[in-house]
Amino acid sequence: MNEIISFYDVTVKIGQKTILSNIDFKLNRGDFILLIGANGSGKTTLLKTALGFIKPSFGSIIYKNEISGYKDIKNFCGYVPQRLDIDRYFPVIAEDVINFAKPEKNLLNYIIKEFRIKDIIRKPFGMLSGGERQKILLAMALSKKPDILLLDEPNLNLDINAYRDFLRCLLLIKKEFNPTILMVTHLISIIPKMVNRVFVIKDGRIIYKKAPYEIFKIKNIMEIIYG
Amino acid sequence: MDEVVLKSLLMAGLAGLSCGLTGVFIYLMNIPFIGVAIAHSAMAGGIWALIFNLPSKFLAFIASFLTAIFIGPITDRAKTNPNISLSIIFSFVMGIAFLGAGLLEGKNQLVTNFLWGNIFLSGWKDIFFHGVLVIFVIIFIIIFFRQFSVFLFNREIAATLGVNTGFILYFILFLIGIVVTLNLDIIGGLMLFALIITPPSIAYQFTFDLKKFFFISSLSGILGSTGGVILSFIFNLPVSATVVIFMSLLFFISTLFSPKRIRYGE
Ligand SMILES: Nc1ncnc2c1ncn2[C@@H]1O[C@H](COP(=O)(O)OP(=O)(O)OP(=O)(O)O)[C@@H](O)[C@H]1O
Ligand SMILES: [Mg+2]
Repeated sequence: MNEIISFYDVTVKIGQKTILSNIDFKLNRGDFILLIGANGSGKTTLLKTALGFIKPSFGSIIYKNEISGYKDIKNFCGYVPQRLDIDRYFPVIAEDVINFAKPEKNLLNYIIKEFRIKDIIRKPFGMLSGGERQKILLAMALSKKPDILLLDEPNLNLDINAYRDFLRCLLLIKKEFNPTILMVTHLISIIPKMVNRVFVIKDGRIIYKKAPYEIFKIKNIMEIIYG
Repeated sequence: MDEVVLKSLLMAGLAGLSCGLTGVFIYLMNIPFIGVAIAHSAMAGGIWALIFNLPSKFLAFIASFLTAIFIGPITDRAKTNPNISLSIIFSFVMGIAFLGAGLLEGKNQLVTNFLWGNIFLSGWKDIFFHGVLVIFVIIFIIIFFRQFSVFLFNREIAATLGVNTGFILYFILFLIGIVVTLNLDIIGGLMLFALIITPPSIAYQFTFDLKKFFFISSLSGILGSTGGVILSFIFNLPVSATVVIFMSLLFFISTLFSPKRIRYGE
């Protein structure tokens, strides 16, 4: 198969506390997975483990059918973290942020045009709105042409229009470059087109892996997601 | 020009430059207390080395670098708020420094230098050494500019963009240790920190461009320290005090004219 990253029975402990238990899944090339779960269920930890920032206490992660040094995995990932503590006056403009990833000229022009960010690219990053920031970070993550995009609650602090615009960019990327996407979110009222599976995580365990339309058939889904 | 004046001005300029450059990292990593803790450890190391007749600059550096390594892991602002534990550490180190100073009281001019600095004592050798160091620092900043900027922006993102964040972090801490040690008996451990943190605070008022940020911070460092030395000569005042006061004055003036403040109304 076209496997891109696989978790084999991964357990993560921090100190005495077990944060993730027996996480086991395979992502194929081009998959678009939504990871949903309540606050503190372990979503961010799962992404950080995939990136190699956190090492599994048990189990293993295999990248492209090869056991990778963890250092390597993150070189193939584009990552948009959940929170970014950047001061309003931090001396970096939006364009600098995208350029961190050294994009090719054509790709950069394409992104600027299609993301409709021409007007904000010269603005200080810290002064952007939540939605503008997320688009810039997505542009940055995309600029290195990653195999996998890991997005941690990109809808946080966005209103519905800003989130729709973000999804528009994401779907555009999906069509154009077809990266594997693993996206964490709380919001199940909007499930983007092209999502092919939804993982539901509860107390550090993936309890459901379903097709998007099946999610609403789970009886207490709201309870699971909103605690 | 009098040679002492010339040497003092040169040394002050270099001190301001090295502190202004290093200060950018401390400021943008938001770790002021680490700077203070490292400065005070260097001071303690230097003073205690005198008690045991060891090479004091070398021990000052070892002390500052050990402190840097010890507190390095808690500098990740995403994880903890390190300021409380750091303020305890730096009070502790300060206590050790003053204990040493008390034991040596009156016996050694060098102790006074470590506390208050003595820019007038700098020789050509010191100036040359400091100059070479500053050139190295500048070259490193230019070579690793992209790595430094994305590191300062966000460490996790930096890691996904192929930056060796551990190396960059310890390199920065190492740099802080060296610059602090070199400036210790010039500016003095007690006031050194003002020279490190004020220049980037000035730069912060003026630019959204990291390159310019480094430049303005360096320039403010040079202006503040040489201006302070000139004031000290003219009015025959203690030099470290005039440097720090003049530097702070530059900061207050810069806040009055700050384009960021004026434009964004804060
Ligand atoms: N470094 C850490 N040390 C100890 N516990 C941690 C650490 N990081 C996370 N945890 C704990 O692990 C659990 C999962 O955290 P995680 O951040 O992965 O949750 P999440 O699903 O992303 O939540 P949210 O929706 O609030 O972002 C939480 O109980 C959290 O307190
Ligand atoms: Mg989270």
